[in-house]
Amino acid sequence: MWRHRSRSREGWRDTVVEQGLVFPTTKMPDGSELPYWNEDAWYEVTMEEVEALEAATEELWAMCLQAVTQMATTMTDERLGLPPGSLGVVRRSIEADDPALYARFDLAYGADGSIKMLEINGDTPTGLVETGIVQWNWMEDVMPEMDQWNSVHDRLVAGWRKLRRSGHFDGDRMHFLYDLGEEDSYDGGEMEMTVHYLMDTAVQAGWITMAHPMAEVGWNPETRDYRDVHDEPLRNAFKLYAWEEMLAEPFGRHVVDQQESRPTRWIEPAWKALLSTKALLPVLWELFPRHRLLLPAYFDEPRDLERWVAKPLHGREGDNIRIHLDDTLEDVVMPGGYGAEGWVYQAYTDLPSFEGNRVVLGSWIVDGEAAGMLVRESDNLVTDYFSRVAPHVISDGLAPSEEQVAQWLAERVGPDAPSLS
Amino acid sequence: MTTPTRRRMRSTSISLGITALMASSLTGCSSSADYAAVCVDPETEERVADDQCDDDSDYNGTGAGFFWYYLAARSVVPGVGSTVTGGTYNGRTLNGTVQRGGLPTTGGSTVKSSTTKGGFGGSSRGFG
Repeated sequence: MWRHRSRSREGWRDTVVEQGLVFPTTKMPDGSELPYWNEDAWYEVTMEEVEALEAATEELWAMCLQAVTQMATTMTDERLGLPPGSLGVVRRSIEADDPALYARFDLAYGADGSIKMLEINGDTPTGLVETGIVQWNWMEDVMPEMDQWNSVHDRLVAGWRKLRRSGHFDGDRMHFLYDLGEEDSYDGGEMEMTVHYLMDTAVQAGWITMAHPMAEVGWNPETRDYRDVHDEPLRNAFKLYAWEEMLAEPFGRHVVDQQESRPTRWIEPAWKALLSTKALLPVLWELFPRHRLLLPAYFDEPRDLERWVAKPLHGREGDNIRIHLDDTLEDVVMPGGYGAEGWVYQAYTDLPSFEGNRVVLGSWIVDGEAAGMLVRESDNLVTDYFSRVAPHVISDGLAPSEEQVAQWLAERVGPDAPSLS
Repeated sequence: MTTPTRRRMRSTSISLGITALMASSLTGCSSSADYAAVCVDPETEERVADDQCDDDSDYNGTGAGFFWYYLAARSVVPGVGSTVTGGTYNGRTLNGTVQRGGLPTTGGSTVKSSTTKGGFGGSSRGFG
């Protein structure tokens, strides 16, 4: 993997905003702006590297599904930092074999070629607009003859189609629910755009869709069902809203207590709550000790780790992370409001540095298969809210034809897709 | 540089109607607030029956009679005979759809059902 500097496209900012990236810059606390989409650079990878990352992503996904089963059968709500009753909901979701759509791994791709899982966001991942649309269009404009590890869009459409035909859903209306975030926590439209992009892919797969904020969801105690903004029953809903939050809120109790007369079918399904807690990390390490794709991780204490990162169970965007590199140095501590729910300690691994840009790869799973990547770069040790994303190119691959795309959509990379057993 | 039989890794083409539409509405400025009006006697500030109001004129601070009083969709509806609060007589400044009359005379919520809201969406944490 290499980082190349390049000249950004004339008018790039308006271009990416029109394409859906309405948050091309990140506002700093002092009012200044940092670029969030960065096309002053692009990353070059070889097909061999992509295939290694792809295989690792699929292997990790199968391991995560095993961990879900393990957690659901052997652990408690308290240990996982989940609201009371959550695991009951999760177990029912596993028993029903609820299908899922997507997830994003964060991987450290070391200078030595090692691939390590930093974490997974299995419930509410964002970064889709950047991955599926913006970097794809950048390539069309700048190097249309080249290839990119990025079948996210095609796979999302195919994934939605498969869900529609799966028999797991109640009709073909799908609601798309998101959280606007208020005042200081308003995210500049990121969640709203993520949801509307997903809605686009669902429409192309034949769903009838509608979007509104999660706060507009109602509960009707007479008919005992969730209602949408127009007071119509909420039959199927995609939510960009974490299960652990839902289950802790007043309306979440209706799911916990099984009060629904005709339960809403959710995407992502409730079992994904186990893939959005850092508790997964020590569970994986216990299930697959010394696995080449994992970093050692433990609950509550660093044990024998010399260099470690403490992560709150439900922290996101680097909030509250503490990095300990040396007993004589002060730890790097990030601010935030997480931590009361519990902590895990994970071995620290150096991120590769390209001219001072520390890189984490976001690797997507769509419908159980690896789908592409998003390169995120940061000036700091922690890939946080102020990180940037940059496009990438497969230098020894050429743009595919439609027939080729159809062929690899139909082919699996590995053997049969893993499932929750 | 390449072998023609290699696997290809990227999507063929991406078409995006909704995404582009949303991008333009989020970067413009638009409000989609909805309002409903009850009929009010400005002298007493009490709600009266809908048929006392006509659709032609808004109350401008003077004049006798009955006038529409606009409430945001999420406000609680005052019953007939109750004092109104939290709304406006000035309907022309409102963005969005406006429904005049037709609200339950006994008061209650503007939504004509027992559905409650606010039990989801309290999280102000970012996801991602």
